[in-house]
Amino acid sequence: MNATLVIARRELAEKRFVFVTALAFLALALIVPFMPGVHDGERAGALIVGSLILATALSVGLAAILGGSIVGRELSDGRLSFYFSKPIPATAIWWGKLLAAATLIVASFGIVGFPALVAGGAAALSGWTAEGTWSIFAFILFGAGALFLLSHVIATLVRSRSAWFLFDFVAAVICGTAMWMLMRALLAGFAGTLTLRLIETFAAFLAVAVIAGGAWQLERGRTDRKRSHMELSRFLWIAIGCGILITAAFVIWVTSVRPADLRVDNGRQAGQWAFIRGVANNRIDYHAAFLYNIPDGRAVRLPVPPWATVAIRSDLATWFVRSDGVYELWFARLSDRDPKPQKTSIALKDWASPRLTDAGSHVQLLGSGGIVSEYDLTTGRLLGASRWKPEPRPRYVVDIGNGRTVVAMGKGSAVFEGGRMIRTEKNVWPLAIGPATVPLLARSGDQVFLWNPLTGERRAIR
Amino acid sequence: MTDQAIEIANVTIRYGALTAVRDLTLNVPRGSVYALLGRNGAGKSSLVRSVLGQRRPDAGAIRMLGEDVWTHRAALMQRVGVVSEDADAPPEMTVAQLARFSAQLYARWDPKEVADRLERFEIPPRAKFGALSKGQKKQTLLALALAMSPDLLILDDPTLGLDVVARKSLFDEVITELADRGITVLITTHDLGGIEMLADRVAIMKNGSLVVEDELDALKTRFRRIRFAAQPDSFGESAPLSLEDIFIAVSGEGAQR
Repeated sequence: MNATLVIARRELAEKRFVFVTALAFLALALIVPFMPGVHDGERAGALIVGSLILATALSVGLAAILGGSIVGRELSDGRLSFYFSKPIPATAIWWGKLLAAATLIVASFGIVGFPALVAGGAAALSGWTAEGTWSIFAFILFGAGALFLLSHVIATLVRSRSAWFLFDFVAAVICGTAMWMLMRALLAGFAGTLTLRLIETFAAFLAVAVIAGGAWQLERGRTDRKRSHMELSRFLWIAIGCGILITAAFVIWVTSVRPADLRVDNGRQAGQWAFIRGVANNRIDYHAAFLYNIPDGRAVRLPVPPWATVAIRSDLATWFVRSDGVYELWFARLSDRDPKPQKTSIALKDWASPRLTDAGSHVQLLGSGGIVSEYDLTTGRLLGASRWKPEPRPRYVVDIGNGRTVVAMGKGSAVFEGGRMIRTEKNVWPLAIGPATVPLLARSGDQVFLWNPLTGERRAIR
Repeated sequence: MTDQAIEIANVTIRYGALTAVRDLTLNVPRGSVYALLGRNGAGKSSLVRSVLGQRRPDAGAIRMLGEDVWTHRAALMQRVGVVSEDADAPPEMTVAQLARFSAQLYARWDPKEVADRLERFEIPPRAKFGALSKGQKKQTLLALALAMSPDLLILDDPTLGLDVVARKSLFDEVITELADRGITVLITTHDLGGIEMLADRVAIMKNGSLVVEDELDALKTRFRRIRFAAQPDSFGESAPLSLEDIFIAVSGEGAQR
């Protein structure tokens, strides 16, 4: 018989008590529907939930115990020499043990979870689907598998009582930090789905690395627990290092997006410059935004979220960047030969939408709660702020010159001068959304008329 | 085919800062009974673990039956019977289960031979290995090791902790096997009286190094001459020189009997 199967069979025979335990858990699951307090109509649900909970508890607990003992405990107890003094390849020892452990985990889950399947699966419960049942089963078993591998690695590292553990700790911190930085680079492009896929792929790679590492560990370390630890460490950290390098190369490719790669979903032009934003091709949901010079193709990358607004004039653009829990206002002078994003000293706790004034020296920020504040862009000095109570959410701003703006809100419009609200008018909204001169074309209900926002005077159009 | 069953060349084995075996070279000729002696901590078990391909030496090379033991361990174990120092078989397995397990792994396996030998040792096949006495455990392992008709038998302190009867029974079994098949035996032991009847060659290790290595008879002659040179008056008066005398002379006071 194949040596792997001989080992697997022996391991299963040694741990046959697991099957007895699983049958005991099954009996417990079958008792649950008949426990006091469970009514006739609830018995199927109680059986399903009971057997699923017990199956999960058993398989997860078993995964942790088996993972900790498969090699780590046998090494520290000096029991592996029995296998190694026989004509069994080291890899067969590992694969046999792994096969037995996987069989035990899956079989024990299957035995205890059997009533849940027979009773129509989780689909019998309101709101669950048959696919959902299998997804839950798969999730639990993958989780148990991950826990098994993690326990194996930790048991090997800890039980060796080797100074290499310090190296492992440092390597884990370095690799964890590197992965976090790579994920952050993707999350900065609001690529939640892409990040999740990358994490899933890396986790699968890690699982393969640990499985292959186990075979390597036994082949190279054999019965020597310190050397076994060293070999597992060496294999894992080299594999993880390579995995991180590949991930880094991928992240560099993802983040090196150019304007031509965008599927533009938002854009605005001011003179020769345009603001464009969208999802990058072949990068799932990685977003990017640029200030793009139309004649010569120069581009300035902006780290703005997909929902954020950018104010742009022909010579100036300004936008918010979220950093350490605050929204910092940045700007770029588009009139410069090589426009560079620059941070202002303006930082807000809440999100706000920027609007540039005519001259470009002031920025008006429309925040939630109906607060409109005006700043000097260069010095960051707050010039004034007002709140219009009837409406918490400003919508758009019409610059009417001389430092005055009309802010359109849900229930009407407010006129601001130097950051101070000077008058309001309910149920009237200017039709212009960019700079305009008084009188403005405005609307109230289904009527359109000429409107002077400074005096409130209305005139019919001819 | 080489004349040596085991070739150990310049082997060094370290455990961190501790050097268990230091640049050791020795050869075990085919068909010989080779006794590797040394006090506790001399490095015998570390060397045996490396000879069995269970631990890679930090330096040097070990060949067994003409093959590198580290790279060909699994194949070589088809031809090597082992009785380890710690009876390491799973304690929950019965003797019969151990025999069945081993039978699946070896190309050459004689189930009748195991059954006969276990019967001679009066070991019940249904007994759990963990429940056997120390002597019975070693006898079980010897029965399993001999059932696959080994070319080489490695016995790592097989009589450690055994009473006189069990010790004699184990050595008798090895002697019978040697007479029948002429296999090579490498044995590490503290049982100097027992091994003196068996061994062709003897090596004594001290602090990880080989201090004496020769044929037993040659060794005795050499040490007799040394004793005579040191004590000329003792000629013809002293008792015949035993392996134990040599061992104590080489290893120093306090050697275990």
